[in-house]
Amino acid sequence: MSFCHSIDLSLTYPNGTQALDRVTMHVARGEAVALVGPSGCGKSTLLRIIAGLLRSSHGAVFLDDRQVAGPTRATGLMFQDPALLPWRSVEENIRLPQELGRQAGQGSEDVVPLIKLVGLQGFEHALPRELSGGMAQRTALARALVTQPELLLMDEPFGALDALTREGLTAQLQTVWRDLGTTVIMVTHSIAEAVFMADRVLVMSARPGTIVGEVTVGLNRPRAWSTQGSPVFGSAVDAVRALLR
Amino acid sequence: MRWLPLVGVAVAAVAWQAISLFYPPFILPGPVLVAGRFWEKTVDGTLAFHASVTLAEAGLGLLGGTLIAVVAGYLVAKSAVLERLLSPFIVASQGIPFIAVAPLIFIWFGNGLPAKVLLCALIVFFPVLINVAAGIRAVPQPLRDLFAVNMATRLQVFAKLEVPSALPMLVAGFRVGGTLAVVGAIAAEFVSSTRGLGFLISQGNSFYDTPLVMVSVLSIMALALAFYAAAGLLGKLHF
Ligand SMILES: Nc1ncnc2c1ncn2[C@@H]1O[C@H](COP(=O)(O)OP(=O)(O)OP(=O)(O)O)[C@@H](O)[C@H]1O
Ligand SMILES: [Mg+2]
Repeated sequence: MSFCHSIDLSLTYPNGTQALDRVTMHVARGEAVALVGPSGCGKSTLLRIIAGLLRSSHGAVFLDDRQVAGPTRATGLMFQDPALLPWRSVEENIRLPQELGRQAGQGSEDVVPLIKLVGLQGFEHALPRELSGGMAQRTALARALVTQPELLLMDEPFGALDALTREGLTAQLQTVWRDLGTTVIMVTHSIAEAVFMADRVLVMSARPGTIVGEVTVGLNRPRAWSTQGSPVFGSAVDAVRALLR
Repeated sequence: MRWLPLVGVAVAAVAWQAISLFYPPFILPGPVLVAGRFWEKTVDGTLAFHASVTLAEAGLGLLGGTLIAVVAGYLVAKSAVLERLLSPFIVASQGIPFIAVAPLIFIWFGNGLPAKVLLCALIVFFPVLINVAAGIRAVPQPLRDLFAVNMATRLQVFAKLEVPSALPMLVAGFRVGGTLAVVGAIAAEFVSSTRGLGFLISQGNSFYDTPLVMVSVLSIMALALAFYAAAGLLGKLHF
């Protein structure tokens, strides 16, 4: 049974650019899926439609068999840019989602465990400009998780970070996601990162984007970066690369 | 290093005093004479009275103009139709010296306080509007998306995202507006009035009371600086 699926999703922007062409995909509950594809093929567009921020021209997205008609609290978002409010401290940024919506203020849970989970203890009162890129992204991750979303959508979440920080965060994200059981759809430009993170890698064609194939990653969890040396990892990477050609 | 500005002022004052010795006081009064006159006008309450008149004109104009401009700037940023409708006026406002409009306003609204407040508000309106609209437009899309997926209401987006994001631009607009409002009030008083620092200047002018003119100019400067500082306080608002 799929938790999140899209059927025949197409989107043409008002200026005539067709970004997506009949995208059909299924994601199971608790699954981690990576989306890879050439630049400009419509990956961000697809995520925005799933998040309910953009309406498709044709087709539909379903979450738990309910059609997505607009933004819902069931999804959490993370972008390449941490998108923190510069005038708020780390903790205030993480709490922001709790203050929004018509039922704002209700069920404001303790964010301390979450801050610990992403390793930001001691920086609760720091302002975004006092954070490193990796810390800012971890703040954004905690903020995305504070509403306990069933579906976490990430658009190149670590794209702007250096390789070392990126590896650390990817490994950390894997644990977080396993602890919480969140379903994850992540866009990435790194094939290795896609294979390392995901249960399945979906490969998209050049614009107008459509799914041209998928690679199931048969690696046990938890995965460590040393897994990268294993033959299974290597063959998965090769399979994704072949589909991208 | 912190004292250097004061040293600069002191040197200028000494030089001014020295040069003034070569001219009669109604051409160039020295700082000592001006300071004496300042004291005299402060003690007899003249200065406070005229300064409060100008302060009221410029201050009320600045406040009213800013409030309306913030609302209008928000609407312009949100509505392409409204922006198109207003764009000729916004462009024209860049070229109109509003002071030149003062006589028209006096014809229509008399030359009392309301007319002068109106003129100041008009002068302040466009720079603040343009800055507020630009500030709200500059809110990055990811932040808007973030508020959207968290089901933020319009009011929450406005109060927690748009206002704080646009604040630096608003403060910049308010700064420019504050200075312009003082200039507008003085100019309006030149044109027609019986009170205010601008009136004091023209009075000093017609009686060859040059020290009085200088006292008024210094007071205007202090007023403009106070407005500037007030704008800075606005920027320190915390969200
Ligand atoms: N608001 C828009 N209006 C018109 N065209 C757009 C808009 N946003 C994106 N596009 C176009 O749609 C196509 C897909 O864009 P999208 O951002 O989804 O690509 P992407 O796969 O995320 O690319 P990248 O990997 O570089 O982030 C591109 O050709 C882009 O130019
Ligand atoms: Mg993208």
